[in-house]
Amino acid sequence: MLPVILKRLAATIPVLFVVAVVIFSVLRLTPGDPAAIVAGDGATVQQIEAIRHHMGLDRPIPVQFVTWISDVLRGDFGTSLISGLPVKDMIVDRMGPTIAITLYTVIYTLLISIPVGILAAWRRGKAIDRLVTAGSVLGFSVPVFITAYLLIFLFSMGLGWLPVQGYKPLSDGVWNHLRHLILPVASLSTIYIALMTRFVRTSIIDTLGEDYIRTAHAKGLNEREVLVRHALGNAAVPILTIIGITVTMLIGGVVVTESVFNIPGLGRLVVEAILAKDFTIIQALIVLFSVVDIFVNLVIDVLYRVVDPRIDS
Amino acid sequence: MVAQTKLGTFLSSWPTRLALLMIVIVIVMAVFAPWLATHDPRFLDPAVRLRGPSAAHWLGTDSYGRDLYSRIIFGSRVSLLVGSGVLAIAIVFGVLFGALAGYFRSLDSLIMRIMDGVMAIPAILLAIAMVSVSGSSLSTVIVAIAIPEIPRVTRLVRGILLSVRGEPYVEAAVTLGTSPAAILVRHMLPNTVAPLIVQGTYIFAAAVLIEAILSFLGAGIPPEVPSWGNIIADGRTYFQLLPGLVLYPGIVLSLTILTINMVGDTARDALDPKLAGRA
Amino acid sequence: MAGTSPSTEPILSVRDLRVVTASRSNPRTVVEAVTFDVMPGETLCIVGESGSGKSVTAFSVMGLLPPDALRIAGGAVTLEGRNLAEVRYGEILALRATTMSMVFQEPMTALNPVQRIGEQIGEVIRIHRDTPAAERRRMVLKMLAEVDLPDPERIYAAYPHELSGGQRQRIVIAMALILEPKLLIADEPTTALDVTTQKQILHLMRELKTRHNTAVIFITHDFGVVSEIADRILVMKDGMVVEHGTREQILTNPVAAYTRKLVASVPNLHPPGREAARNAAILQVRNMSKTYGRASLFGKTAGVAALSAIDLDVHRDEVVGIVGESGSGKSTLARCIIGLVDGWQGEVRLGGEALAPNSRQRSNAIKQRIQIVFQDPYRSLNPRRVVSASLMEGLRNFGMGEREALAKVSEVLAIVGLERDVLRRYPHQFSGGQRQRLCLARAIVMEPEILIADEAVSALDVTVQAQVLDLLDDIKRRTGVAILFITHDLRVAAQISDKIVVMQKGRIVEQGTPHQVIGAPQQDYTRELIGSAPGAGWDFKNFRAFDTAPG
Repeated sequence: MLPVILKRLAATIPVLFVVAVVIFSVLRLTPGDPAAIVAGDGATVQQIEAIRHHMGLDRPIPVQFVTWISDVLRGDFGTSLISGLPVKDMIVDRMGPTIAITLYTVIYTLLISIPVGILAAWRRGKAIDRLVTAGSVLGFSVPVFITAYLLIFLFSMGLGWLPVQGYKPLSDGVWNHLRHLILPVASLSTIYIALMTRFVRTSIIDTLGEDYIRTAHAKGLNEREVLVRHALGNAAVPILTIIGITVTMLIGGVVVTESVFNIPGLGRLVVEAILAKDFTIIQALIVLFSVVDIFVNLVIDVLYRVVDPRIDS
Repeated sequence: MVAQTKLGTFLSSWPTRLALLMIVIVIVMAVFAPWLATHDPRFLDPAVRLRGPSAAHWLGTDSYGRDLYSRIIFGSRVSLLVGSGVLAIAIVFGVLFGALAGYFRSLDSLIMRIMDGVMAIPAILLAIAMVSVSGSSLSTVIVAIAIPEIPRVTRLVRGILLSVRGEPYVEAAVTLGTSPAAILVRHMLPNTVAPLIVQGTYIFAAAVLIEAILSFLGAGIPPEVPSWGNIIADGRTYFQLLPGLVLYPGIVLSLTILTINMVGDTARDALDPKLAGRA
Repeated sequence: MAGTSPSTEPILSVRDLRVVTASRSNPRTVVEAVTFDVMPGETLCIVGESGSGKSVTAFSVMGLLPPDALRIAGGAVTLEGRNLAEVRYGEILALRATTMSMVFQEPMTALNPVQRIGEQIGEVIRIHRDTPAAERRRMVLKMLAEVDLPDPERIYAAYPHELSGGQRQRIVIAMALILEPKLLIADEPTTALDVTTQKQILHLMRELKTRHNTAVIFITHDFGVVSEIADRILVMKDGMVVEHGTREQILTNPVAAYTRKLVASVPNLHPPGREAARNAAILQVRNMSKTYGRASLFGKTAGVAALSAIDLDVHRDEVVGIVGESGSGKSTLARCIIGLVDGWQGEVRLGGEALAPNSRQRSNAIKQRIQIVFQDPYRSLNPRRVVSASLMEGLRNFGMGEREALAKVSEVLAIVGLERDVLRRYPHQFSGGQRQRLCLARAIVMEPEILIADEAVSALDVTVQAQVLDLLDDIKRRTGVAILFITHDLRVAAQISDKIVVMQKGRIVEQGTPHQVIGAPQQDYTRELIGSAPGAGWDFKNFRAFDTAPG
């Protein structure tokens, strides 16, 4: 297994390189002058020039790229243009809430979507399946922030059960912590559950059409045993695939959710950086999230080999 | 003949008909906005700030006293423009790169590595970054949303071309002396049309969604332009006071995305039975 | 008659079976009025061409019809005296694998890819018997040995993808027979296998059947196989029974016109008399080798030799049959010659002129001289293009005007036996045989000197296959084209070839006239192939057994 992991790790290098190039080009080569934006409307030409020099924007593009890459590789994401603090520290500071939301969302999503998807596939064409299918289209069509506001409207403003916004770390008490995260996780996972349920259903239905399922029926297994013993294991690979594909979507959702619920995580840091035009932070966060995505997919790639013996190690 | 019966079943289900009706409504809203609106969507009237629905203002007014109903009507224009713009860019470049990767083996791995890289970057963050640097404008938003969609189209087109390349009818064309370009255009690319129509509807829906998210986060369409995302962003501060400021445009936005997705699902089932039921 | 037991009670009796499509508004009848009995220990062959309803009949008995596509609409299926229509679903499940079992056509996909073999076979025992795990394991290992699999312990722990197609089919058979059912239904169990493997599997099935006195329903399209294993034969066409009788009766004295045509179309291994080619060699292959390299991170690693040191001459007006099993390299050879596969070493000369490896590097004048017809008629024509466009494509590429091309195509249509009005239609409006004629027309309108037929009749029903073989012969006589006929079926090659080339593992094992190769084979492998050809002892065309060896 270790050689496989090393090989896959090596294969991520070109992807990481492309990610770096794309992010760099988007931020440096798109029309618009970061220095001028940072300086603000009232700035003089000299002031803008000084900021440009300070940001290193006056050096040749390839030099800027190499400087940036080598800084990032050393874990140096630069200093925030606005706060003057090292970006790395700001990120570490804000990681807790984001990890909590993401983790709960993934767990909750899998707990709901796998059984429901299986149920729909098993009863395909029946009322329950049509309900699930319709529900899932609805689920991923409603934007996260709309779901969030609807939930706030109902549960916080209407029923008064849950806080409208804010975040409490685990150290403030488990219930207090969870209470503040119920609505954010519910909002964020709606889209994710909808997508996953739909995909689990499709994967199982695809699998149920395979020849070996017919063999299982010919053995005298009943429907439930066929599903549990033969369909599920084979549907695992496509289900893992979709988990990998949806990572970037989940990250986008976190940004929106944290913004709506005023949760001081990395997502809201993005929004703060947008408003403050703090490119160093935006740049660092994109890199960070892309690396997370690549890493998650690497783990999934290794998991494939666990669930499917055909993918040789 | 076959296509007609497919179109028949396509139109026969009532959810699809409702979805198509909603899409027609949104298009009508966009085209006839000046006639449908009761007020100038940008007209500030401090005298009627934050009012609930009334005879003069059917859905109430926002914190600047602008008419919410008229703003929602005009907002459809932005959504449709963004959707069409993103769709056009994603399809043109996706098909171009996909065709290059799927047909010329030498370019394949280079193009696909680049696409892998672009896909690894969270789409919304990439868009946020682009809009932040270039300044908010309609065209920047369209380009920023389109770029992450290009790899998806590229992968789709490439996958189809690779699977079709070994088809006997394509090989027969090779032995008949048909030129590579003619083989690509005549025998291979037509196979991508149906999947692209399906993928296209999903891209359109995604574009409408992401525009709203970007505007909501303050990294989208310039704030003075009435787009659904901007309307919701303006309203969020007063949500507890006047939930309609968020909920009305939110419902219109959600319904629009929902119906486009529904049409996409139906089109997929009708155009390609092999893909039926796929996510 | 071997295997027929004197018992009077049938194991299975089917009466007036009717199966329709599941469509509520407009159900279509797929199988109608099918009636037959199966006695203990006998083998009933159900024979028919595609669409005859033979497999649907088998699946009906097992209760395995796909519920959203087909349903039984009438008749009775009685297993050991019990009408299955009146038996609860749970009891049907209990009958499967214990009383009736099934073996499927596709061994490659019939096993669960993520479960170990031992577990999959053991599951049959687990669900039907209260057997302790250790005893189950012992039973499975014994069964694995009984289906002649080497090293049962290793196979027990293996995953399906680690086994060959033949081995997998043995596993499926082991699974079906481990609880000693009274009835085994085998749906084209050897169709996907090579002939040598087919022979072994047929032998195994016959042996197990005798040992356990199992009744067998054997579904097949191949009268060669039928002639070797059937006690009785049921001939089906379009969902109905055409004829029913003992093996001798059907093979020697069929009554129904369809049965006569079907049996007479079966190619046999005895080559007709043909004169050896006397013309000059038009195509010369010298020392051709092709290695499929496996690209890796560190450049190309040692690859698989698909072809090694091939020497071949094809003469004008000659049919060269290239025969081999899967992996023999026969198709690769054809594809290298026409330039669809490049990167080969050696030399191909066409009328003395050396050819570039890749079709793209060849001039149109060269391309025109070699044409190809593929195996799958359903994928050989672009489904989106009208037939005339497909047929004229080559001529137009070479600069011929539309009107002239159309005239030429019309001429060729007459040769392949199609009317002019086919030109306005689309491929989906034609049957498999008609499409293959269209593909032939597309190739010969180019007036090639070499026509490659790559398994061109393999996907066709036997009656259609016979017609297309006649057509190929006719085309050769009319146009003088040399035909490179690639096939896995030695019987077909024996009928059409002037020269037979036997290939194995990328090498030419033996070549010569059909009489030489089949009558006096020099190599063990050739002898094995001949010995494996099903129905070698039958002269189907004349409804009698041969009294001499072939050749």
